[in-house]
Amino acid sequence: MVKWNSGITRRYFIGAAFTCCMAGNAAATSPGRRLVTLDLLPTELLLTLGICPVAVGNSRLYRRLVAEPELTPDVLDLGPLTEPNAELLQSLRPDAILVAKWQAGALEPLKRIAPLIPVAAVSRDLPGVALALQVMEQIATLTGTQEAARNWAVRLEQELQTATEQLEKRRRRPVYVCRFAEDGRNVALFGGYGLIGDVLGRIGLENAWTGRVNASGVTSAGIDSLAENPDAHIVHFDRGRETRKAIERLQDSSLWRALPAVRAGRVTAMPVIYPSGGVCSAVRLARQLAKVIPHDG
Amino acid sequence: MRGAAPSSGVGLALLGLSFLFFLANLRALIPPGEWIPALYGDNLFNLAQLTARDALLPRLLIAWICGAALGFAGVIFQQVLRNPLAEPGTLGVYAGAKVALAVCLLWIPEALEAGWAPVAFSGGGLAVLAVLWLASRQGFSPVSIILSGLVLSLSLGAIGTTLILVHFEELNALYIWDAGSLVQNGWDGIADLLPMVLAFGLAGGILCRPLSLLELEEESVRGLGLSLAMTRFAAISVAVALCTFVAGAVGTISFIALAGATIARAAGARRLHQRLVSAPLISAGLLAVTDQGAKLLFGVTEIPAGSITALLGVPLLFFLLRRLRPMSPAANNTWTANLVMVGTTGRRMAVLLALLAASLLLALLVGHDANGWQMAMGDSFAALLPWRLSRVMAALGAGFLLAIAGGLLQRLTGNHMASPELLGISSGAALILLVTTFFVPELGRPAMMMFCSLFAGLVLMAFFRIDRRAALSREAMLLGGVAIATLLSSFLSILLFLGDPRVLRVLSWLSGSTYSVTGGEAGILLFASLVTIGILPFFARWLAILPLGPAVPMGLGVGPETSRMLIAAAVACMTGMATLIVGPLSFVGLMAPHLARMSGMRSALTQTYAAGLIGAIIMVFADWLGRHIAFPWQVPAGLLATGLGGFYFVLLVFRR
Repeated sequence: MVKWNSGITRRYFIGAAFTCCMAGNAAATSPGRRLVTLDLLPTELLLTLGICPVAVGNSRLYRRLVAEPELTPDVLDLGPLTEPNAELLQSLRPDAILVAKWQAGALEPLKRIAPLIPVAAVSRDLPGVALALQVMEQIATLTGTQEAARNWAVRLEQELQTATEQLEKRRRRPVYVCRFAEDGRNVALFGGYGLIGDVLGRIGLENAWTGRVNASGVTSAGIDSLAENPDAHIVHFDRGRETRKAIERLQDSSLWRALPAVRAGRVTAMPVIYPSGGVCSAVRLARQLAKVIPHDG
Repeated sequence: MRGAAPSSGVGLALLGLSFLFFLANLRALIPPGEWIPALYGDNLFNLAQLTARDALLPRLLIAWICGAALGFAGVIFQQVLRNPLAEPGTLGVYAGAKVALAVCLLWIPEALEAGWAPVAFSGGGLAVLAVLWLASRQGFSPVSIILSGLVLSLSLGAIGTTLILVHFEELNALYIWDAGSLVQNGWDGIADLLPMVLAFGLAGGILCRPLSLLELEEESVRGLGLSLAMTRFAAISVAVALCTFVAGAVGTISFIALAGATIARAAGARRLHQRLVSAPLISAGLLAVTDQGAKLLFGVTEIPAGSITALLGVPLLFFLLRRLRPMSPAANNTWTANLVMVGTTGRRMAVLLALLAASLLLALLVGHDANGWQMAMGDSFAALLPWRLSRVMAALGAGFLLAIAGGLLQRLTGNHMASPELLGISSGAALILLVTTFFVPELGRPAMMMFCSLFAGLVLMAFFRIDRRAALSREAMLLGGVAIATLLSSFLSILLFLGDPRVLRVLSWLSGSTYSVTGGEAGILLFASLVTIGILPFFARWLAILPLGPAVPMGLGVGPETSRMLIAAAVACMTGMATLIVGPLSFVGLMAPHLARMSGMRSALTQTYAAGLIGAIIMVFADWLGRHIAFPWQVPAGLLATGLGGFYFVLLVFRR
């Protein structure tokens, strides 16, 4: 009923990742500026623009949540997003430090090392895609990569357009985008104006979850919330063991088995997308959604 | 049976209220006409009816079952340990379960294949065993049990928080668990839990008679030929099993066990069998009222019940503080052990100062960079100093102030377990910070320090006011502190559950990190420390006299209220400032005065000074260790101090 590893493989994205990394390596050898990013969104966008940072905050979290564009192993880890290691950072002598606005206040002392450049990683006013584009432009201006940014902006629009066209031919059911908690009782639902909610809207899909979400566009609820829209398709993030366990437990639940989407086999897994991600994340999400929404039914 | 009727009545009223709330929730889902068909029909295609039958109804029932199990366990804990504060939270059950679950989630996921309950049981059971073992070396006095439980809970909690800080993403299942959500989506949860609860409940029932004899003096029980140790061990095992199976099934539900047992007693249930009936009823009703009420109020936005129970429990407990009488004559736990420290007071002070200097040198000079360990000299020292100096100085000041505040509080209340941490003063200060972080535009740290001190002062005032009216027992004093600390942690777990990104900042701040301290702020702390050193001699006479009772100071021309209030104001300021740097749970305020007393200092004044020095040494060392133990990641100084405190405590108990 739930298709495991639903046909979307890493290879599918290798093209995009490859271009990123090639550009990154080229930039690292050129006498460019030594940049450091302390939040996941600027890290993703910087890599998207083809620039490899010298060091990043919480590289493990980036690899787990964002994954692409790929972070090469030689990039140093600076520790937690809230408290990047200042002494290590200083020894790297960066030219500029990219931080999210929510970090900027607490990390102000780091401006002694290099100028802090705050970017808006979460916004209550700007929808996710527009926010990602705006921040990308900001970073492009800083790094002199406006052309790459323009290309990516065009490419994003194309990808969204392509996904929209692909989906137009199918029956576009409302979609729940979610992540099942290991206990098989709770589910994290994505929506609102966050990147995930916004991309859904941009490719002509209706978000089945209309309830409240927090600033990052996510909320936690019980499985019964997935019953509110009986027509919906359920797309959930595949987080490996955790998700496998969750699905196992869910299959014991009569309520889960009774959900229209489950009965009709309209439950699909897809690779993780960072819900506060940038342009690359948006492109991947649009492609993944276009792929997992079935042609029939 | 007088007493059983009113207390069971309270329980039944609560159960009835929860059922009314449930009906209101049910009506929001399906019209009353469909209620019966929803229950009996097998209408697989009506989702609303299915939701009513397979989500809402089991949710009510699981609340009742969990609540009843916790209430039952609470009574057993309190009976066996003769301690009105005993409950899974204070005995370290939840903290042990949490650490065991975190370790399994991160490194041995296979252990969780059979569900979370066995792992929770092992972790919680081990924690309680450790607590009891520590307490057994101190003659099992009620105070020693709670002290061991709290110390262990805090240390394990520090480990858990560190793991969450470092593995925030991987452990998200854990903080959903920690928040204690009762959401159900079928009858499996009940089918798994109910047999366990019934079996252990029955076992507890069988133990009722021997347990009720525990109220007698030990000698007469022995005369009856009972194996005391076996009875106690069996009863504790039953109680731990009940709590951890509940925890494994739904998550951490704090306070419900304590609330049920306390309310039952307050409502007149004196005998054990009365309490074993009414406490589960009260706990079950309380938990279900909370959960169904929250669903009624907040609708689709889930607020986990486990986090809210504390909100209900706290005012209730404060109300009950005044009625609470000590269960047993307070054991005089005077911490008579002596550290090997020879010589005069002056030489002991010199040793402490030398130790402080050594830890300062270590913290400022020795460090780690991308290439490994380095001794900072010359230019590199000059480059690193701005980063290290303010952190080290802030740690020093905070440790000093907290330790002095703890020392003053212990003198003031005549309670060796009094400390800013355990009386809830620093948790109170932290609460106001949590509020300002979310609802007030960002304030500078000095402004926050004032807020904190003010709020710490308010908590302390409230505490003294209650104390004056009711002459609080030691247990009651700590009960208030536990209530506030629980309130704080329940707010935190709600925020974690809702996934607000700002919570990471609050979390790392509450864990006691000196990371973002600026030079100016460190300066404020050092200045406050100097002022404290200066004013302590003025308190010396009061401190020596106050514990003797109100009559003596009167005769010396010092109003006891004035002197108390002045010292209290000082304590509030010190706690407020230090809490902002090292978080609310650093333990230094409890530990350092004990160490000072054991180091052989005689007078009140020298003991307080020594406590300050020891506190400073602990914090400076903890800060240095935290910066390097997981390089480039950093473990907050407050967390490490808590861990070190726990380690020290175990060593201490061992030596005696």
